Amino acid sequence: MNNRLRVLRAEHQWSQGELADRLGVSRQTINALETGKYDPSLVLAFKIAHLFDMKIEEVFQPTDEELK
Amino acid sequence: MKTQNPVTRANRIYTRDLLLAMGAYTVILIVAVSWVNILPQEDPLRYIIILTPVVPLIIALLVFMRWLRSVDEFERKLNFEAFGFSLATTGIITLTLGFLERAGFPDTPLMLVPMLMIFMWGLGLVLARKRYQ
Repeated sequence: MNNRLRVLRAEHQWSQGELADRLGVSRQTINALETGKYDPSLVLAFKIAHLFDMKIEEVFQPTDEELK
Repeated sequence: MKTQNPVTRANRIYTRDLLLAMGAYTVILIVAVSWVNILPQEDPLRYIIILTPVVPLIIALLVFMRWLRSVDEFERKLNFEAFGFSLATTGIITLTLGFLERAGFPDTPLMLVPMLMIFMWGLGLVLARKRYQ
C-alpha cells in the first residue's frame, strides 16, 4: 500500500512524535507507516484521513498488485 | 493542556507495575526459599510456602496482558510475531534437548524453559522491529 503520510506530515510541519501523539500511536508506528512497511487497520486509516481532513483514498493508495 | 499519548502512558504504567510485581516476586522468593529451608522435610506447609512466589508472577502476567491491550495495533503485531518466534524456537530447542537427554546428555532444569521463552520473545521483538524499520 502506498501512502502520502510523510508528505502530509511535512506540509503540517509535524514531527513523527507530534503526529503519533495526535493519532494516539507510537512514533515507531508512524515510521513503519511512512516507510510503507506496515499497512494500518481500517480504523487507523480512517483516523489518519480524518486528521488531515481528507478521504481515505487520498491518503492511501493500494498498489495494482494488491487490487488483483 | 497537552494530552499524553496513550501508548506512552501505557508504557509508563506497565514499567511501574511490572517493576513492583517483579520486586515483590524477588522478596517473596527469597523469604519463601529461606523459610522452606528451615522447615522439617515432612511439613506440608513447605508446599504452600514455596508456591507463594507464583502469586506476584500471576500479577506480572495480568500487568503484561493489560499493557498488550493498551498499546497500538503495530506494537501488538510486533509482539504477535515475537510470540510466534518464541514459541517455535523454544519448542525446537527443548525438543532438541529432550532428544539429547535420551542419548545421555545431562538433564536441563525445567525452570530454564520460561527464561528461554522470555529471552526468545525479546529476541523476536528485536528482529521484528528491525524488519519494520
